[in-house]
Amino acid sequence: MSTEEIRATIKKSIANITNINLEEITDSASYKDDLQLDSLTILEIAVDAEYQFQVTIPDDVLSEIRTVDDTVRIVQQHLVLAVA
Amino acid sequence: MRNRVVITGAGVVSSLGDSSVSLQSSLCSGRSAIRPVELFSTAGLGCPLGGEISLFDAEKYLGRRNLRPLDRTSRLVSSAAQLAFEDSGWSEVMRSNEEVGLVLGTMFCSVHTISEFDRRAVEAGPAYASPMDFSNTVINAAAGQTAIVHNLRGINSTISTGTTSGLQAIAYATDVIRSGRAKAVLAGGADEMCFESFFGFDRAGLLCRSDHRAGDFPIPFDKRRNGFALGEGAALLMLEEASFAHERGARLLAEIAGHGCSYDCLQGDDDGAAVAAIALSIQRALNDSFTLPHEIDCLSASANGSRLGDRHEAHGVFTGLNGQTHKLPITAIKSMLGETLGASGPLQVAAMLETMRDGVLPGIQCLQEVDDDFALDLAGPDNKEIDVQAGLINSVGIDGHCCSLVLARCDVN
Repeated sequence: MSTEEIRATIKKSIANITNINLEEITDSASYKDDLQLDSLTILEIAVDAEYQFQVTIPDDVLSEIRTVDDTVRIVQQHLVLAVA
Repeated sequence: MRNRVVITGAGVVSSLGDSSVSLQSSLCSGRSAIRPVELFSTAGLGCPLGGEISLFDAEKYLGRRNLRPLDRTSRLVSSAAQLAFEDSGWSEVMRSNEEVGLVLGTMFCSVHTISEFDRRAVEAGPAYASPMDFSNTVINAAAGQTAIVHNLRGINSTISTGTTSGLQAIAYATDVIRSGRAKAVLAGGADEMCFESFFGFDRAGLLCRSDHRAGDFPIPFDKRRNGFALGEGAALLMLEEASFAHERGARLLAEIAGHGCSYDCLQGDDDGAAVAAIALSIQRALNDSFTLPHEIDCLSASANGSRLGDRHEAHGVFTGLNGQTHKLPITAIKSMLGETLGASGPLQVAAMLETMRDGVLPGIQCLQEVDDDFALDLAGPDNKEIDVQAGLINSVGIDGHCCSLVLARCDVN
C-alpha cells in the first residue's frame, strides 16, 4: 500500500471521527493545536488506524502520535514490520 | 419551610414534534407515531411497529459540531437541553454565571453503544475496541455528555428505574431544589429506540402483535390490547426555585406540587401487591402536595397497552384516589407515542403543561371498549375540554417501580 493510500484512509477516518471537512485536514496538521482535538479523540483516531490497517501499535508509540504525518509514518512502519 | 419548585420551560424531542406545543397539537389531532420501524430490520421479530423519530438530526438543534462522541441517546438529550434552555430563557451567558444542574432518567441509555463496543471487540479483537465508545458504555454517559456540550456545572445525576426513570428524575430534582441545594436543574428523561431493547421486549412477548393476536396497535385500557409499541424520545424540563424564577422574570408554566414513589417487589406477579404499590405512589404524591383526591382535575396515565400493567394501573388509580375516579378525565398518550421508557413521564408532563395552557386533554387513540371492571372515565379517542388546576401524572414500570407527580397551576408571586 502506498503512502498516499495510507494517508487518504487516515484522513477519511479523521473526518469521520471529528466531523472536520476532509479539505481542512492537512498532512502536517497537529491534532491538538490545529484540529483542537482532545486526548480521547486522538486515541480514537489512533485505534481506528490500527483497526483499518490491522496493525498493532505499542502503547508507548501510540502516545507519541501528535500529527497526521506521525500517524501515517507509524502505520507505515508497522505495516512493514507485519509483512516482515 | 421547603422551597417551591416551578417549571419555566420544556425541551421536547419526540416522534410527534420537537416542542411541547407541537407534541400537544399532534396528540390532540389523533396523529400516531406508530408505524413500521425503519431504524433497523425487524425481520424475524413478532412486532414490526415502533414510534421512532424519523430523520432525527442533532445538528438542527446543536449546530455543526463534532457529534461523534455522542451516541443517539446523548444527542437526543443534548438537543432537548438546548430546546429547554431556549424555551425557559436560559442564555449561554446566564449559564456561565449561574450553576445549572442536570438530572436525567434513562432505562437503557447506552445499551446500543455497549453492544457496538462489544461487537467490535469480539469480531476484531480487544485491541481494536473503540475508546470513544467505551466512554459511552456507562449509564450516565448521556447526562455527562450533555453537561459537556452545554457547560453545565451543577449537580449531574442519572436515575435508572426502568420506565419510571424520567418521572423519578423530576421528583429527585424537585427535592434537590426544595432542600436549597440548587436553584435551577434540568430534569427529565430519554431513551433511544435501538435493536437491542426492541429485541428484548419482543422476545419477552411485551410488544403489540408479538403474540400474533388481535391488537395491532397499542390501545391502552382497551379490551383488545395485547402489548405496547416501543418508542423513543427525550424531554427535559427546566425546574427552578420559585422565587428565583419569579425574580428573573421567567415565565412560570406550572408548579411541581408534590410527588411520591413506591416499589412492588413482586414485580406485577401478584395483582393485589401491584395495585397497592400504584395506589401508595399516588397517595404519597397527594400527601406531598397537600391535595385531596377530588381536587385532581385529570390524569395522564402510564398505560401503554400492556395487558397486565394497564389493569393494575386502572385499579391502582381507583384505590389511590379513594374511588373518586368516575368523572376523572384520563389520557394515555402512549397510545400515540408508544412506550418511550425514560422519556415517557417527562413527555407526559410536557403534554400536561399544554393541557393546562390550552384546556384540551388528548383522547386515547383507538380506545373502543374498556374492561368491565375498570371504574374509570375512559371516554375514547375524543379530546376533552377541561380547566386544570391540578393534574396527576402516573408512571408505572414493568419492573415494579411506581412514581406519581402532581402538577399545579402556578400561583407564585
